[in-house]
Amino acid sequence: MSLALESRDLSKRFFLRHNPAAELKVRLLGLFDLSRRQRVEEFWALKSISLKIRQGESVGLIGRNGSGKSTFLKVVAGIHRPTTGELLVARGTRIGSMIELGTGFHPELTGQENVLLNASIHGLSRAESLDIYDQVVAYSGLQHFMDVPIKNYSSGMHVRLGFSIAATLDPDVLLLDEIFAVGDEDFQKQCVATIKSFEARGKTIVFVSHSPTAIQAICDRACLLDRGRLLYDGTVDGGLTEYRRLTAASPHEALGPVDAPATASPGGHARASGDADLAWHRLASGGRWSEEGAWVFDFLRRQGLRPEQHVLDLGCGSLSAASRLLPYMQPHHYWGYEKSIELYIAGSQIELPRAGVRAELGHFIVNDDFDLSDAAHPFDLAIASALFRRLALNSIARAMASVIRALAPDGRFYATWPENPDPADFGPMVRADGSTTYSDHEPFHYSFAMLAAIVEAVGGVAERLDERSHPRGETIMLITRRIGA
Amino acid sequence: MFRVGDPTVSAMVNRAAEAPSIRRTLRGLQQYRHLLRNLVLKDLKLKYRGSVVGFLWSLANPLLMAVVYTVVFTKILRAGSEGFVFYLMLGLLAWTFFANSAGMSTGSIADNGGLVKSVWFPRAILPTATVLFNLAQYTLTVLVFLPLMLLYYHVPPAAPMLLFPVFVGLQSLFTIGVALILATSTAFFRDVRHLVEVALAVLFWTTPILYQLDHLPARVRRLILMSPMSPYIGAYQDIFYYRQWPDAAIWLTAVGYAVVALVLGLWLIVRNEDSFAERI
Repeated sequence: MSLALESRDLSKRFFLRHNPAAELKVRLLGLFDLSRRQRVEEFWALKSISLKIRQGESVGLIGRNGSGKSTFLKVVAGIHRPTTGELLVARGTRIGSMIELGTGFHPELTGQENVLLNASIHGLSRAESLDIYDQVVAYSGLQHFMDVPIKNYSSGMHVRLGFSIAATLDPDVLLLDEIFAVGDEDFQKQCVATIKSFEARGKTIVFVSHSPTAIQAICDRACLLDRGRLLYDGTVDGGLTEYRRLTAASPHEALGPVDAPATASPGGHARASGDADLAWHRLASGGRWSEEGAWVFDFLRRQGLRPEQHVLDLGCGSLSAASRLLPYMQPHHYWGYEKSIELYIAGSQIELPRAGVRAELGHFIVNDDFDLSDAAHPFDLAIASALFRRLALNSIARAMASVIRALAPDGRFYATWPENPDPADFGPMVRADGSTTYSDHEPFHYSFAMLAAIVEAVGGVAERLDERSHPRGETIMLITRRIGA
Repeated sequence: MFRVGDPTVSAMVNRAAEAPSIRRTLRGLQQYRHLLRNLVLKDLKLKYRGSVVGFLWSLANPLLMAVVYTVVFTKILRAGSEGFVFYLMLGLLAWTFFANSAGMSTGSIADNGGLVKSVWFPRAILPTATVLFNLAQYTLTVLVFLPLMLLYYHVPPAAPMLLFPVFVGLQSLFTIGVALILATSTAFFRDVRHLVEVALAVLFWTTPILYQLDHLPARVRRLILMSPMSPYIGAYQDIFYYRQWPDAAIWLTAVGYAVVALVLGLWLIVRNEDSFAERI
């Protein structure tokens, strides 16, 4: 079979605008007052998607909310233009999209008027619209309602009419997004039967859905997207298994902004205040907030931490370790570094008061580039727990160099990271919790050899520890200054 | 639903490389002309659906205007003859066509987010449909009123009146250009809506609608003639009220403004066509 669609390295970038008012005012005020300036954040909804879809295939796109599957469909439908990469479509292909059933329906118009209007929205000529009209009516089974304004339709009838149009348009490639969300069982069966007949006639279908049943009924191939990346491409059963692992493994990550920088306002993501573990700043660090803080404290104590030493908590986040270290250490002997000001603020204003700890007992450095030059004393102990999983190698190198420079000559820096046992293997790999990932997909899995080489390059020595006590199952390494470096 | 590339050649087309261009947009408008027609019909239907006398309502408004202006200018202000009301009405009807189009076009893309985000079609269709809807209303009103007024005010037919459709055409092109500019800019800056209200008020008074050009000092007259809506409204007054051929200046500005607005509008919408779905 020849190709119907192919995306090569296709990426799509959106700009998230944080000052919501899309107004000139914002621009004008921004000229004088930096805090009022519109903050624009890049968001890559699709990251180098390469996918070939042959004619006659039915491909199911699955993934969690925000994984990019609808964006992919919209790019193919021509609604969004790819930012980079190529989108190849067989010449002469007629692409029909039902991104939302019944869009363009006007409540005041009758069923008949809406069908004809909708057909023209999908590019049909007057003659073609009239041609398909009878088929649409017959298919929808709404003969008696065609002269009734759509506002009097039930939501099921609404969708039924919308799908009937999509089914009758008869394109070569049909793009469907979540069409089974509404409609009764009969209608769903009818949808499946129609799509099957499409398949039988060699049409190509790209189908986005959360429903495993629908995917199993319709598709012969599944693609799993997560955070804009294509994680899996293969059989339907395989894809659904991966998807289940993904959703079961990380219910927290499904809620919290993990790979997106935590730039949302501190109040923005706050969940119901009753459940502290669901607060956004706790989720942002991965969800095992208290466990991880406790582990850092215990681990450092086992490494011989004493109150009079100077300790650095790299990536202190929302201060889970700080809430335990601060009361233990002598005043001003704890230093925390964090990149995200929002996380730090959440930590110092929510978590520390909750734990009854005063932030003034320690020092905090918040900047973008691991600049530790403000630290007044060399550190005896430093720790970065579950930080490297979120950093690219370059950033790790910068962090390592910075910490090594700030260490006392006999200082020790402990870092934990999810280890990739084989430097040449980039996945797929199974995590401790059973889900699948790739080593170059966040959370990043680096091999020890790779990190050790970086440490070596920036003037340190790395040693892999055998201890497996980290709550996320991460490997621990010890970094010390190289004598003479 | 749309067809990719030329169906006779069997190969793959890279859609990411298809740059937006005025040509592509014009071809799209041609392909989707049936949608354009349907959108105009939809608006007309919706406007009069459910009202008993339907279209007659849109005649009531100008009729009321004519009565009010007759009373004000001939009985209260005693500033003009009854014939002057004919002059006023020519300008007011054409102005209403322009002002309503401009006002409605601001939301034609920004308020259609659901459609723009889920189906691809040439976005220029939306503001164009808004203008054509207003043109249809204007045409219907004029078809009823113009013969009535010519009779009532005893205006004998004259050859220049044949130019009426030409200037309505030019005004429509100018208005489509303005609508494309306003629809595109509102999608990015919601303030445009409010700016348009202010701008329309200014434009109304800088257009010879409620006053006659020959009552103005020569210097001001030249300025007023440069106002964007002046050539069109001036032309209607020329051909119906003064019953004379519009002069070269009117022709030049009427064609010039239409071309400038249309080119600018098309350029703007083509440049931004791909980002509407992301911005609204």
